[in-house]
Formats: sequence, structure tokens, C-alpha cells
Amino acid sequence: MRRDDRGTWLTAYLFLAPGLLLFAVFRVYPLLEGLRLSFTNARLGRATYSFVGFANYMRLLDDTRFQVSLTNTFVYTVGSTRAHPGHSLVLALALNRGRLRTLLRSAFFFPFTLSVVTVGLAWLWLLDPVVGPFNYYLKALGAPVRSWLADPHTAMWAIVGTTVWWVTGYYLVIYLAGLQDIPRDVYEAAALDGAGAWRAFWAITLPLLRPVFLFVFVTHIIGSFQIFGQVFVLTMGGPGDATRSVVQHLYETAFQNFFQFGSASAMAWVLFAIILVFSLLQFRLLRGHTEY
Amino acid sequence: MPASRDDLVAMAKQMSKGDTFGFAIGTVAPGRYRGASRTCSGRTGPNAHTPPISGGRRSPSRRPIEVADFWAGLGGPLKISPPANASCRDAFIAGKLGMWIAGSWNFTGLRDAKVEFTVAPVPRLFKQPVVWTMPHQFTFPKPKSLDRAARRGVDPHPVDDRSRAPSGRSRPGRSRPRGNRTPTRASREIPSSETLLAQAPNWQAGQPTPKWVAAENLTRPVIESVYTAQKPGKAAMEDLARQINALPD
Repeated sequence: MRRDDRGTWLTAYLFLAPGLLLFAVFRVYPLLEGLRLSFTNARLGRATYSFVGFANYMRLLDDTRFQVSLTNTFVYTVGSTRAHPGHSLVLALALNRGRLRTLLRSAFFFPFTLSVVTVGLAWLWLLDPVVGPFNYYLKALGAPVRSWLADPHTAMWAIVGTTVWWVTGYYLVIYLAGLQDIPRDVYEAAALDGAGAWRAFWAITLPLLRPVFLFVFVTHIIGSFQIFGQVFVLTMGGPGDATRSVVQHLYETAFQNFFQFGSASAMAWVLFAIILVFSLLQFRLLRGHTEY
Repeated sequence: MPASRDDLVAMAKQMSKGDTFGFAIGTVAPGRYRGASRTCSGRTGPNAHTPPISGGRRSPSRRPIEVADFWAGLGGPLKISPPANASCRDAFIAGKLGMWIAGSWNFTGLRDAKVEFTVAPVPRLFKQPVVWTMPHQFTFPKPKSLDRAARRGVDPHPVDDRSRAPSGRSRPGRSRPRGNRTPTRASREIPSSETLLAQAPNWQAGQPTPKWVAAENLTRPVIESVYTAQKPGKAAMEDLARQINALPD
């Protein structure tokens, strides 16, 4: 390596050093420390931890609440994944052109600027079974009313609906960026060949949005598996355990129920493994070159 | 004013229609209100938060089940209480809730709403006499001198009462009745504190265990599953006992 090259490398790493340091301290170290804790009986207040092997992982097989939480998280992930991407894509296609598109895009994006607590509290009031406006208008229309968040059959779907309302704007922006990235001349060439709008959508838009789909699906599924805020504010995991998520169970194990850091770390690693498998699966299914 | 449990239920049934309810226990979400559960189960003799929940001389596990069954009826078959996630305070202010336990007369928003209401003693609901007071919700009006006097007279139950429980005759979940039974200035001048003081002989301390926080966190979803009819009272209490007993030492 020439002296000039070495100098360039050194300069580059010096500039990267602060970022790498922060990444190592706040990301890599906690990750590895969590892995270590998952093999111990660590608990707040316990002076020394001892190695317990896979005991924390094996205990999860007997932890019925963890299993319920895992099932709920899967249900939420599937439900929200079915609702989100298609829903946002349709909106993006509608708002790709048109006179009021800037105003409408802002309107759809606005909910995403709110924090999860704000969204949760607003919907908690909207869906209140006694004084909430949602039931009030349903009743006025003659539709059956119910306690959406207190009914085990509807609580999870109410959370999915709230989340759809909250993040639709975000995915909308991503899809719009993807749509605007597709060269116009491809559509013009297709039109010259006699392709209609429907054909152009299936043969051009959808295939060329593949990288965007990959991004949206991967980030959405990762986020769905990590659902916590909406559940915590809207239902606290209830009614009973009907909407309890893995992260809520993990949080309560680590910070409410006797600070069982070892068990909680094991849950975190199990969740990490599940997310990793799903992410790799999606990369495999959706990867491929985009050819113009 | 209801004189018995049957009276209370009958009155509540009369009041309940559509989105109006006759009776509720709990502040915001009646189904998940741990204080109500604690009051129901903890004040009926055995303490549901004290592992082990079952065992003892008089099969105390029946008492939490009795409470759980009553709890299940409120939101379920009787339909006299609001849904599990309703805001009892908002319902009370909106005139959609008739009788309310755990709603302090000093509750945030209640005074501002200027709702007319009265404080009344709660009839005996279970075999064991129950004190219907919430540990953190003794509230007294201004001026401060009255507040201090009232607090001296009505001493809230400490959270961990193990150190103060009398030895020998104590058992989990119970301690010596506390509170000054001599009428104080506050009790003379504040009618509501008279109601509280009248119940002082039956007060019981709760949670004589360092595990009470974890136990209460386990309690909430279980009582909510009872309230929303996902689990029968007996199964829920047994499940709760299993979970509490499995807490690490």
C-alpha cells in the first residue's frame, strides 16, 4: 500500500472513529452483554450471577404467557402486514399525481409525526366504549357498538387499525419516492407498444418497485415483531393477555417482575432470532436485480 | 342507599341500560384496576398477593374465588359495570355511572366537573367484612389543618406492612386494625371521613411480602380476564396463584 493510500485510509477511519465508537458502546456491547446475561441467573440486586446454561431458554418452553405473547405478536404482524403495504401503495398511486396531492400527502403524513403515546391516548378516547365518539357515531348510524379494546375478539384489530392510521403516511412517502424513481420513458415505451394502464402497472410499476417492497416489508415486519408502545398505551396487553406482545412480556420480566434480566435477555435473543429468520426469508424472496 | 349486596346489585341493574351503568369499581379501566382487585381479594382475609395463595386453616383460597366470581359478574352476566377499558371517571361525570367505588371525591377532574354526588358506606358484599378503601386514595379537602387532622385519624395502609404487623396472631394479608377511632376534628367536620372512620375496625394491611409489586403486575391481566369472561373465577385465581408462587426468591 502506498503512503498516500495509507494516509487516505487513516483519515477515513479517523472520521469514522466517533461513529464506530458510539456504535460499539451503545449497540454492539449491549447486544453481546445481553447474550451473556441470557445464560446467567442475573437479577437486579443479586451481587453475583452464575452461569445457568440454556435454563432461561428452556424455561420459555414452559412460560405459557411468553407463548401467548409470541402468538399475539405473530397475529399482529400478519394482520398489520396484510393491511399496511397494499393500503399505502394504493394511496401512493392515487397521490402520485393530481391537483391536491401535496396537501393530501401532508395530511396523510401528519399522524406519523405524532408520538406513539399521543396516538395511543387519542385512540383510547376515540374508542372509549361509553363516552368515545367512535361508538357514538356508530350508534347514530344504527350500527352495533361494542367495546373495541375490551373485547378479546376485537382488541388486536383495534390496535392494528390504530397502527395503520399512524404509519400509513410513512410508507406512503417511501412508495411515492419509489414511484417517482421509475423512469418515465419506460412507461412511454410501454404505451407505444400498446400497453394499457393496468398492464403497465403489473409489468412495470410492480417489478420496478421491488427494492421498495423489500425495504417496506423488512422494516415493517421488524417493527411489527417489536410492537410495544401501542399495546402498552391502548390495552396494557389486555383484555387478559389477548394483546400481550413479546416485547411487553420482555419489558415486564426485566423491569417489573423482579428484574429478571437473565430470562428477559433470553426472550430478547429468541425474538432476535425470529426477526433474523423472517428478514433473511424476505431478502431471499424479494431480492433480484431491477432491470430497465 | 343499598343496605346489602342484593340491594346494590338490584339498584345497579335498575340504573343499567345501554351505555349507562349502575355500579363500578375502579378509576379508569374497571377491568384492569389492580386496586379494586387488591381490595376485593386482599381485604377478604387471605391476601391474593401473598404466596402461597392457597393453604391455611380455613381454606382461604375460597375467598378470593368468591370475590373473583362477583368480579366476573359485574362486567359479564350482571352487566351492571362499564366495559373493562371504559373510563369510570368520564362515565361518572357524563352521568352514565350511578354508584362508584374507588372514585375519590378529590379525583382529578371530578371537582372541576362540579358533579353533585354523595359519599356513602358500601354494604357488606362478601362473607368476610370488607373495607372499601383504596390505599392511595384517601384524600382530604383543604384547609391543611383539616387535612393533617384527617390524615392522623385515617392512616392509609402502608404498602409493606410486615414490620408493623403484630406477631403471633397475624397471618398473611392481615394486620392489626389501624386508625384512630376517636372522632377527630376532621371526622366531625368532614362527613366523608366519618364514613371512613366507621370502617376502621376492619381495616387490613396488604402485601406483607417483598414480591408484592411483581405479584400485582401478574394480577392485572388475570383479573381482567375474569372481568371480560375469558376465564372463570376459580381457574383465574388458580392461575394467579401458580404465577405468583413461581416468582423467583
